Amino acid sequence: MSEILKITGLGKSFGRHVVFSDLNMGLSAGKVHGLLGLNGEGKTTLIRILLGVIPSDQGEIFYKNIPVSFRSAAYKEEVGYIPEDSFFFGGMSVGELLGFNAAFYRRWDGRRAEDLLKRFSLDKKARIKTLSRGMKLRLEMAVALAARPSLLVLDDPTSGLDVPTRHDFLQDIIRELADSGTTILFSTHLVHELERIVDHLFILHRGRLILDEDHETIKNSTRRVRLAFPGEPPQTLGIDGVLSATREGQRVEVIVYPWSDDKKKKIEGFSPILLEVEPLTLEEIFRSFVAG
Amino acid sequence: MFKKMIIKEWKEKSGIFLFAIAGLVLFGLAASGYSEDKETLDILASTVLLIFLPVFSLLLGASGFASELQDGAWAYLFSRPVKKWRVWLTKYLSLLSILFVVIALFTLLIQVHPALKSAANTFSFPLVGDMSYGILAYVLPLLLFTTAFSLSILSEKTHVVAFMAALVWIVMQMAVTRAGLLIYDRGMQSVFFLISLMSLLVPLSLALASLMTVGRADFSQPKRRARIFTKSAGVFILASIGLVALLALGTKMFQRDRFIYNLEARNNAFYFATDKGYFKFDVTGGQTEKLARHPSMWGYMSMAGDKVVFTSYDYGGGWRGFAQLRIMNSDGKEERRLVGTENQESPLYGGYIYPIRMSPRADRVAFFVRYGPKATVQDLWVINSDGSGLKGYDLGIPDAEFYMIVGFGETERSIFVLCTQKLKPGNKDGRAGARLLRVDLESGKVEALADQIRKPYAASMPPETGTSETGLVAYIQHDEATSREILTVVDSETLEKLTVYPEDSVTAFRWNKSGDKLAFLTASSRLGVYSIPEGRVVQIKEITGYDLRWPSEALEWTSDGRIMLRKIEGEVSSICFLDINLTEQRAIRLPFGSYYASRIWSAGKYAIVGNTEKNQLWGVDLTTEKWLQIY
Repeated sequence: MSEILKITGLGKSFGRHVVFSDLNMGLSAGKVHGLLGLNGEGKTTLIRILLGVIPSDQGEIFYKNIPVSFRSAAYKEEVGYIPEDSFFFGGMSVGELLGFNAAFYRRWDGRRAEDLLKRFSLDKKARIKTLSRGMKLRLEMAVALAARPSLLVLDDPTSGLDVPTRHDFLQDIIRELADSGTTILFSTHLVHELERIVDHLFILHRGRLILDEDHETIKNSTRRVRLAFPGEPPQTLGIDGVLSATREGQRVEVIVYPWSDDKKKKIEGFSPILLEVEPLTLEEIFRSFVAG
Repeated sequence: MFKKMIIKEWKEKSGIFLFAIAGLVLFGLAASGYSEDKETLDILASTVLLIFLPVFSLLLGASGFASELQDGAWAYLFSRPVKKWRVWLTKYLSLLSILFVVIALFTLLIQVHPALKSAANTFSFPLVGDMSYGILAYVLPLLLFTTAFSLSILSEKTHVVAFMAALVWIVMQMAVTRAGLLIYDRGMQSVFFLISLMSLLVPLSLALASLMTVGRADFSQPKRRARIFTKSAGVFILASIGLVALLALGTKMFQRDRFIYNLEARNNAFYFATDKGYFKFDVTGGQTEKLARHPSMWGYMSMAGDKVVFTSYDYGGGWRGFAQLRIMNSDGKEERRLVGTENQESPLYGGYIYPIRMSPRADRVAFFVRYGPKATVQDLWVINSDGSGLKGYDLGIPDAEFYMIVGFGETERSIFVLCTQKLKPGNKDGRAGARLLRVDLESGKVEALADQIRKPYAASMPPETGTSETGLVAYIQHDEATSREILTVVDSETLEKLTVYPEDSVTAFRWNKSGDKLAFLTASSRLGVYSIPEGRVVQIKEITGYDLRWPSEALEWTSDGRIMLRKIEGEVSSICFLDINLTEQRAIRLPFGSYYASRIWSAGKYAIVGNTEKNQLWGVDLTTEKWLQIY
């Protein structure tokens, strides 16, 4: 599958604080990518660099195999961006914000913008500052989509939204966009939101990409293993990929990635009196990755 | 994109714009309320021009990126598919349009408002349409705005940015003044003017640095942003300084920096002021000596008896120079200060002293003080040569442009002054004319003797070294009936007027050294001599082949009663001497190209001519015909 966006060796520091270094990742065309990370791990910084909003210290970015930089503007024609708290220009009306943005994009589709307003029940004349958070997000979405982006980047857009809005938003739009071939990069710290829509997962933690894997794969190869032993549990199970382990008396619980039959056999070698292997939710997977 | 951005900026800045409009409306209403009080109107209009517009420019510029930095919208703007410098430029031009609309409204207001319109001539700032109005009302706000806008990328706090911009501007002006004065004291006046280019180059440098910062810096990091800005601003400002230095070198102004301001011929000596000081050329010894140093742009001097009075401009190591009137003996000894303008309590405070005139008996000095903050009421001042008895005279001419002191009257009881008036807008040909005034030094009474005196504003009294103090003033007056320029002589005591030569327009005249004859040139190339005792033109003759460009500089009497003229024949040029029958007796070739010959003088046995190309003075000994560079 072709990569629409690729970054190599990306590094960024704020003064002495290294946000991340030597970051490599690629976004596959037409897929929904989740960028996970705790607050303050540099998700917004990474996205701002990708969008050319701020410069990186090291590394290169390729959009459709063409190197782009902080100074490039043309590739942004094809990149929609919904910034965190993207609720600016409160004095403008909904229609004015669309008009303002239409002036920047050659690919702007006026009819699509109209359709999106209707679909999101947005009133053209309403002042932006009078809109609710959910409505503002829809407006930003309409702006981004009217430019017919090939890549849509959302920076933690649903934080602070009420649950039904989040649900609708994700269900209705992201999946639909992805199905129509738009590549999506969705950054969030509310991991469970991604569960149903995400194709590929990145986890940014302590300045490194600690996970870069398809959603299917990670789901299928991360397992929680519950064990109980007749006496003292062994100090180590002798397998690698243990993300977390908790002991309580004779009971042991470990989360393992990647899980395999070989590992299961190894554990069986310790003769546990209980051995349960179960899949995890995305949220649980994320927590175990960033816990270590 | 541009159009939408303008609309967006106008909407966002509608508050400050309406504030400006409200200010202008208030100003208009206040002006209506004070329509009879011209002084108040002047204060009101000056306040808008000198305080309101600059402050508005600073605030508007400083608000440039404030809202984007405040709510993070910069990230939104920078993620749009447009180069960041274009965002900057579009925003700059959008806000500039707001500024210019406000200025244009102000300009319109002072032109259409009935009260302001009728009082405009008395305003202390230049009239609309003058270049200085353009500079004050448009260029200065533009520069202040640009400075503030360039700095607005540094902070979202508008008042902080406006303050920083004002500070930058003030420091820059101080530095420019200081550097200018340093250069000035080293006698490089032309470079002095180049220095003022920095007032344009510094805002330009800041704007470029701002653009560069937008294009390169990480806006999420204020410190790094400020560092990049400071660095690039420093580089651009240094480059500007380099550019000015190169320009100064390139134009070779260092070599050409010779200015000669003020010259006076006496029987035994020739005195002149230059940018290097005051000099005396001793005719008997054939030597030039420096009488006094003075670090000043325009030197004025006047002499009588064995005293020389002159102006000086003293910086005293400070930021601001103050004019002084100084006096010395004609050999340069006993130089001392008569009066200065540095005392804040003095009505002379901060003004420029010019012109000046020593009385024939050398016991009094008359001078004008102009453009000081308090110089509006009293114009003419007289002080005794020992520094006592300073007295001011209000000439009561509100639209006076500049004054010339023609001379003291016979008994030194009165003084004659030529005063030009400010031209009304649109009157470019000098039709206002100058007025000849007599000021009674005892009573302060001012009397107009003549008006319609045209350029080159010629009016003069016979040299006081002459044998008689006649109290006559000769001047060229425009006659409306015949449209001729008529040479007239008025007796300052009886006010009796003589018309010298009504047959033709007179272009220049010169008193002879003894003050009993007038030589004159006419528009149809005639040279005439009028005798005062005889009361008639004793000689008149058409002359050809003489160089009559700038006629008032082309005519002189020698001390032995001959007339001097310049002549050009092909490449050869000379000064010629005509006897009383106007027959050429002798011609002495100039040591340089005739085209550059300026005014001719005679002092004792020397004839002197200026070279305008190199700003030199050359003298020729009439007995040996040997040329000597006096300066």
